[in-house]
Amino acid sequence: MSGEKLLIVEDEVHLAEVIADNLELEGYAVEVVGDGREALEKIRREPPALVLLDVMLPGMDGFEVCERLRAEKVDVPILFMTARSDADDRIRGLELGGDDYLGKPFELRELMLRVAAILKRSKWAKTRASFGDTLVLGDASVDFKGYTAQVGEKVYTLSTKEILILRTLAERPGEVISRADILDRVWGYEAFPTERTIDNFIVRLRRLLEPDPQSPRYIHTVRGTGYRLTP
Amino acid sequence: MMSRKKAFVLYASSAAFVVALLAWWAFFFGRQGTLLANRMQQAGTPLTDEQIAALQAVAAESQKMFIAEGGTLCVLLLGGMWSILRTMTRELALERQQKNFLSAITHELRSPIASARLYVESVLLGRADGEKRDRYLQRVMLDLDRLRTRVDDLLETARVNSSKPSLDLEPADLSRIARDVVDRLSKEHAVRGAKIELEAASGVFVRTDTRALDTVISNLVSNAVKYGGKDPRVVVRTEHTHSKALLFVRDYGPGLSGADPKRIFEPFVRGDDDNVRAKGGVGLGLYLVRELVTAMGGRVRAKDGLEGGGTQIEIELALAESKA
Repeated sequence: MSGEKLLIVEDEVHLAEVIADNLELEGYAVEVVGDGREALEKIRREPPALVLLDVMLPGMDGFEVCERLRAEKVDVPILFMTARSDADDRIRGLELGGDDYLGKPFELRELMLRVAAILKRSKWAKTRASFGDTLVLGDASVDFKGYTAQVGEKVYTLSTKEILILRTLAERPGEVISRADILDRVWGYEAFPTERTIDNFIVRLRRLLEPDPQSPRYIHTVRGTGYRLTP
Repeated sequence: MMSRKKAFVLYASSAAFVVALLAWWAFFFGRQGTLLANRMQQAGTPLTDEQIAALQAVAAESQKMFIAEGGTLCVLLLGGMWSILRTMTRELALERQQKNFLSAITHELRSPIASARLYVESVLLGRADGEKRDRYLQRVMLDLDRLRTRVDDLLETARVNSSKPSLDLEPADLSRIARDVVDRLSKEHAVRGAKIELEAASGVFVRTDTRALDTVISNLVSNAVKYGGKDPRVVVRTEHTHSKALLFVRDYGPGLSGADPKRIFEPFVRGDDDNVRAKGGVGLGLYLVRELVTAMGGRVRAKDGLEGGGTQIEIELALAESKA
């Protein structure tokens, strides 16, 4: 593998050591930080390819680290690892912009697979889309490089997830894309508690891009299956 | 159990009702004067002095009744509302403490399990050989020790909670028990750079349960090491007055950081600052200390803001001679 830089943010020394050792064996370049504030500074200075982020941390908890990074538009992939693994915490972590969530204790092989999957998704997100950098839907034009949508005179900022959902649909125009496919592409299927959440993203995208969100012309719902984009 | 929101809505409605009732009462009370004047006017012909006096007497009577009834009701209602508010505040604080405890205990139990599991899995998958394998197995041992300590704390607390601790009280040398603990923990905490000193007075005999007192002093010393900052220094001192034996455990760390010295002995209470959170633990150590010392007939208290910094916990026990 690639020597990609990973950052482990974990104050449990043993846990950090054994995870770091194993990721290094996989060929990653691993750094460990044990404090939330320090992690935030480090990620701001040089964002790694992936952050493995504990939640209960001294200095600043993992949720807050994630929230601040997302507010600053730092879209480094984040895998939460935490002992607090009830549904509320999982949902909160993902809503704050985390990419995946592992409850302690977890299996080594599962961790490795998830790390590899997130890195793969993140690489895909960075490559140029098959249709180019721009998608035009009537009066709306989406810029996949700048994460913006221009509708008439107005320019809206889109989130990473919104951009990736649009891209998943736009790469196969006219085809029905299932919710499961979208989740797999954008989040990694297992990470997400419900497919309904995707519908909320679609609602917002329609509100931004469709002339009449109630009767959409471009982003269609295919009942019981998923969505279809017709540019 | 009623949700917090429902409880607050119910409380706010009751409070609003009480306020409305009092306002209604005040309104009628205020109208007494006007009623008298109205009646005097309605009479048309001027009233005689006797009639005015009679009306005034009736008004004064009903004013007295209003004041007595309304005042009593007011005091009762306000007292009730205050009492409900106090209970609710306590309940909420308890709920918060229990939530903190659950969160802390989850972290404290799952973290060593998580790392032990990953070390063992690494060895089983052949990802650690030779020296690395030995190191991993030693780490597993440490994780299991940590887990055992946590489980012991929980079991001991459950035991203390389920019934009054049954102690076998007999005369014992306080300084000797303190010395045993200091010797043992000095070795255990040497790797953390801890320096544990003992200033023992001789012949301080107390009526105690030796094992329970050992647990008390061990908990206090371990706590002092834990919160004693870098290369912690801990001083254990014993002394006595004519009737009391005293044991002090002092650290020179950052102190209680504003925490209430009385509340730190409550179960599941832990400081909110990062220093405390980072240290692990679930907030049962000092609670156990208080319960055991109380069962011995003694008292415990914490002092903060000392010259030279740190926190001092003071245990007071009756001398064996004075009880004999």
